[in-house]
Amino acid sequence: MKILCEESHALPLVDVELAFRGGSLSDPDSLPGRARMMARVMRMGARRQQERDVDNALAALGARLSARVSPSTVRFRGVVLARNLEPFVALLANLVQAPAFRQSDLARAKRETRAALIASQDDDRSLARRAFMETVYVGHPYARRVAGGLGSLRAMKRGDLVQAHEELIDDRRAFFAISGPIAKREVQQLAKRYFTLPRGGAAAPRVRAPKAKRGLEVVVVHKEERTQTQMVIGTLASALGDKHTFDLVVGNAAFGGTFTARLSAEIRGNLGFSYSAYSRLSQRDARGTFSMWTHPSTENTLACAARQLELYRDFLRGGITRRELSFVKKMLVRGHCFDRDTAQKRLDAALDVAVNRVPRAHVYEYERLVSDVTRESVETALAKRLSARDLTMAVVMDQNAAKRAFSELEGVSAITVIEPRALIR
Amino acid sequence: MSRIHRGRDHHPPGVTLERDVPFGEHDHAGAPLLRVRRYRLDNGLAISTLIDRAAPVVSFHTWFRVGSSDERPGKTGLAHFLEHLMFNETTNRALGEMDRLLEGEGADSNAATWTDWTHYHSSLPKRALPLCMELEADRMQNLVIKDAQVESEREVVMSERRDCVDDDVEGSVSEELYRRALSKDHPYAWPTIGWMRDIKRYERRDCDRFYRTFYAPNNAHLIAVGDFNEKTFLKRAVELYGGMKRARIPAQKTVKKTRQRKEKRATLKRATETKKISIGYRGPAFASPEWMALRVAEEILIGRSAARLPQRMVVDEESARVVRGGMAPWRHPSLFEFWVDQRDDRESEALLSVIDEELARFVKDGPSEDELARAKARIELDLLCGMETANGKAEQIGFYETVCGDAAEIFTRLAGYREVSARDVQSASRETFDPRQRTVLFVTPRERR
Repeated sequence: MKILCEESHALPLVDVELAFRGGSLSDPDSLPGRARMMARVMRMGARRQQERDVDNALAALGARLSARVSPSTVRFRGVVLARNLEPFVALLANLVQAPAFRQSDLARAKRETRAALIASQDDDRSLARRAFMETVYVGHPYARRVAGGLGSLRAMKRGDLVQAHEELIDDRRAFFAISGPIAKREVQQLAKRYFTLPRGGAAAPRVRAPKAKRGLEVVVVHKEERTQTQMVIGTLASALGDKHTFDLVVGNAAFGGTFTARLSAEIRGNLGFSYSAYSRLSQRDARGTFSMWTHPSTENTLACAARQLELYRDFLRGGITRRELSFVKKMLVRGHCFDRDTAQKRLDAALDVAVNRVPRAHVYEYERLVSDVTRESVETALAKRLSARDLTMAVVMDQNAAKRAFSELEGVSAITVIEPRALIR
Repeated sequence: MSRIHRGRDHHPPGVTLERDVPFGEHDHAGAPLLRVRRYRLDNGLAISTLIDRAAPVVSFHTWFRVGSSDERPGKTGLAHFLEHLMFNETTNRALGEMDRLLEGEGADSNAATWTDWTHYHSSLPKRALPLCMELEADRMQNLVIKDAQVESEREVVMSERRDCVDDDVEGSVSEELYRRALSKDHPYAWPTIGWMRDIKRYERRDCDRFYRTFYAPNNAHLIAVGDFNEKTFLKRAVELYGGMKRARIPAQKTVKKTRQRKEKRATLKRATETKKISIGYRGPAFASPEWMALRVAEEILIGRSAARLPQRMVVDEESARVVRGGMAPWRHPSLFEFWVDQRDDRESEALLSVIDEELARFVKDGPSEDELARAKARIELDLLCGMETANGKAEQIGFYETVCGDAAEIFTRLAGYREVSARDVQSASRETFDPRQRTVLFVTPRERR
């Protein structure tokens, strides 16, 4: 187990994280959602302890604790009043090291997850995001939902969770991190006192690179009576640690990363099409995505999509201007202080390096790396990492309106219509 | 707890120190680690400062005592609409220039409007504070509102409304709850974003009038938290804001808590997968001691998964997926809300009976001492979590100054929560959770075509 500490006496509050490398990517193909279910059931109580006991104990300590799973990590994250840190760590250690994995808890967690999946169909933005991820990463583990689907839920057994625990909750994969009014030596003592994790699990798996789809594919999540369309348009981008990372970070900020960037200035400012209009660059071990997010009214959907595509293609063709480059570099370098203005954020940065394998320089030499970006390097990165042709467009709207709109859109190679339920199977 | 220091601080002429109170933790010798000071300029502008050198950043806020509760029928949403226009043009700055200048400094700027206030906030690298002050002072008195901007922003706000209300089940039900539960002239009976029919009809002169009426120094409060020189800051504040003229601010409505004599019920159809229940009980204003007792009740009843209602409905009986709610922190009496997202097709009436049974038991027996202690620890945690950043502290100061008239209330209230007894909670709950005083909306899935 590696120990990380960020000492700060600003508040009588301690943030605690116990992270394990390896997350939903370790789920068997037939059982997506296994790691998340393991973490959920662990949080429901150790032996001789019900979930209610855990929650009451946490509340009495003035603490909160969540169990979160990403494709590459399992993280137990909490915050506690500083005076109660030690009993909080004892509680956390017990949950993680002596999970009960009761059949009754698993059955309840399955029903609870099923209900959450069904309810998730009410949220148009998350449906658009889900449809985008499943289309852009089709056939790749990144397309899987961390929580799994209705089918995998039915198949999940207690033994699956026990096996996941053996694989993932391992000393060599573990990171114990604390920020607050405590010194590193005390954190080490706490770790020594409360954690005896098994050693011997396999190393966290690396994932293969996804393949780009061909052409502009529109996937329509059919919903009736929408007054507006949640829309995500994007493509594959760079992998974590890619040499072009900072060129893309700068390019994205100039294109759609701020209120005055091209995308927002045009779609929101000039055309008034959508309250939100921004682009996002996600970083993943294999390849992340570049995506544009808007929600135009139903009648403006086609015009908005067409204009976004024009803006995007102009961006890839012409890169960014000298003025944009200089502006964005200043903005990123000066604003970087907000990535480390609290102990918790500084600890998160350290965890990014340790757990997520973000290159050290990307965190601790951020200003230099941003400063090194040139117009030419942005242009090269855009040409090498983003595609003008191979794009995915995910929209949530009525299928008839969608078919009418997108059959008129230039370059569309396919329009697929799905029901919201298809995204939670 | 509060002390006024006069003559010790060397603040510039035209500035009066009104309040100087400790903020949060004390060092080993018992001296406060941080202090919040409130000053006042001759034109009525209030300024609060808190020096915190934990990071080289400053959070600068401008709070106005105006929100949707100050609007008139037919012009609902105007406070929020004006907030959008404030990012446009001034007599000194071109359209979008303010955003551009602040972004170039690495600042993060935005604004928010709610029922009782509107605030503009920027998180700044410390060198950008003078620029931000200059820009904020400029738009506080020199905003230019043109027809073209009203038209363009109207589209944006309509988009925001479609996103947050019209296509959002909870958003649309919440606005119905307040509309039905409160009388037509109650200042919280309409949504902060405004009715769509009103948004479509704003004219430039409506916005201009609203701006001239409410955006005045004697209706505003500046807050600066972080790493800066207080003396230089105050001197610059006098230069930038000291010449602004007071305005006659319309008196705020007085809203007394009234009793509802009979329960109101309605069923709404929505495009949703599962049934929901929305309940609003008539409740007290934020400044009332009853509110604190109800905040404790909220923790015990719905504050976490092992709280009484989620434990029974989500965990034990599995009739609900989510049970949450609470009392809004508003100046006037409003509603204590419950929101239930049902798990299956069970009759909503049956779930309502469970809520009734639990509330009746709570009113009859009150909370246990353990429940009380746990609730208080959670409230303390929430308060501290909200103050990790400079922006979090500025927001707390701005909120308490605007709604309660004193930032010291943050810690006075924290001490107050520690004093809340089981009997206080029981008594406030008895007063509030009376079925005759509630509005219940049952939400059922609309049948698909």
